[in-house]
Order: sequence, then structure tokens, then C-alpha cells
Amino acid sequence: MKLSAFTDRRFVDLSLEPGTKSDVLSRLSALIARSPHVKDGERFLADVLAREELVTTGVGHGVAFPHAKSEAVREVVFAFGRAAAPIDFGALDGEPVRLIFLIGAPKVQEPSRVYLNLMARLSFLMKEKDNRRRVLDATSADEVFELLDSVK
Amino acid sequence: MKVREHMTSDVVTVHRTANVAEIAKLLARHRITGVPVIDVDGRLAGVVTHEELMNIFVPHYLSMFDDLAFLDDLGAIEAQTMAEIEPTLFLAEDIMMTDPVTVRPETSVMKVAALMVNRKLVFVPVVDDDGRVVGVVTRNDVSSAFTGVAT
Repeated sequence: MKLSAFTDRRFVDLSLEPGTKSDVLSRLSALIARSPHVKDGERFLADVLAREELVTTGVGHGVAFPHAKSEAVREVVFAFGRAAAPIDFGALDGEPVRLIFLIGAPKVQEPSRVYLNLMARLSFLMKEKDNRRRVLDATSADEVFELLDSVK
Repeated sequence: MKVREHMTSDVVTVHRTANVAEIAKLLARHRITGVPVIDVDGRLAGVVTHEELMNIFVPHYLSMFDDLAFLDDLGAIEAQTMAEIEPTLFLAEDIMMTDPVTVRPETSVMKVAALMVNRKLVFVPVVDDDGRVVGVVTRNDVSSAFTGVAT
């Protein structure tokens, strides 16, 4: 499973403009809306914010995985933003966030295993301090993709 | 035979915000195969069973094969485990099956049995007129109803 197959250089921003959590999610939604798999970035954003209302996806260590099943999404896709400055994401460990993976999936009766596998693998990768360091230091989207595709 | 007489009324439920670690512990502690997921108002939102939990870990591409005999060495595609991912990331909201099959207390046990067999359901939530969960029918409940063996 090549994780980079679910994203594109056009959906990656390594100098994401910081702001509030909703500002940043709005910017990332605009990025992911470049994908033909996303029909409506605004509607997707609303679903992502509704999911954040339940429990934050800021899992700690400066990483967040905002996500939603949405009628505005046709196929599983993700965008990635590395904020130029730390963002208050209401993370579980109280630490600000710089690495944000925004993940979308179609709204269907049974959640796609591709979607769940993708989130599991991204979170698996980002649990490792060395991997987070590599993403923080990356100078191109390709460097990030190389790391993502190293996961079996 | 009506569902009312054979359902499990002392039902274990979870809210949309329960995470997979909490759900897994609940299933193990109560020795149950799944739970209804409820909204804040007590209405049924979906169901989570062991299958929904496994969906996180079992690679999607393996669903293409019925016979996995050729995969003797599964080491190469070993899935991550709960300890290696972020369990707080996966809520009932994220993994549940929505719009599940439901029945009413006055539904016949035979209908539930047929639904379970036809659709491979491990349990069926029982709801009232307002969509609130008043019980579940498990395979054990149905089997006991037919065989007369108490559970």
C-alpha cells in the first residue's frame, strides 16, 4: 500500500500559513479540493469540523489527523500541511501542532478499509520521533512521500 | 416467539466518541461481539462489532482474495497493532456501520434469525418508536429461543 498514491504534490504545503485551527483546516480543505476526488471543499471542511467537535484529532507530539467521511468526497484522499509556526489544535497532550494530515473518505454505510488502513499507517509512521523529524526537515513533497512509502 | 421475550434488555452501548481501545475493552469485559453506537439523545447511530475493529488493521487489498492459502508468509504484510497506532484517533463515529438493520420488540424471532443468516449479522439492535435502543438480539438469544436452552 503506497501511501503517496492517496495524495499529490499539489495537496502538500510545507510552509502552511499558521492561524487558528479552523483557519488551517480551511486552507488544507482548499488544497484537498484540488483533487478530482473531492466534489466540494467547503462541505468537506464542515464535516471535518463536525468530527473535530466530537474529539480532537490532535493525537500528540505535534501531529494531527483531521478526517471525515463526507458526501463531498468520492474516493479516499489526503492532503498534508506543515505549519510554518505551531498551531493550537486542542491536542490531547496540550502541545501545539505543526504536522497535519487531512484525510477524506466517501460517506458510505460501511467505512472503507482503505480509509481506516490509511489513517492507521499514517499514525503508525508519525508515532516515531525520527519520522516526525524527517517530515519537519523535509525540503520537498517528494522527501515526505519517500518516507510515507517506506511503511509496509 | 417475539423479540421482546428473547432479547438482551441489559444492553451495553457506546457513544459516538468512544475510541477503539475503549470499545475493545468493553467487548472483552462483557464478552460480547458488538455494541450499538448511540447519539447524545439515545438514538441509534450505528453498530460496531469485532469486524469493524479488525477493519482498521487488516489490509484492504486482502479483501480481494477468498482463499489466502498462498499467503503462507504473512510476515511481509504484518498489520500494525493497536499499540503501534493512535487508538484515540479512531472513534466509534469513524469505524461504525451506519444505518444498521434494526427490529422492534414485537418483531418475530424467526425474522431476526433469517436476517442474521442472510446478512451475516452477529447481533441486531432492538429500537422503540423513537429510535432509542431498548435491547439487542444476539445469535445466542436466537439460538436459545429455538433450542430452548437457557443462556
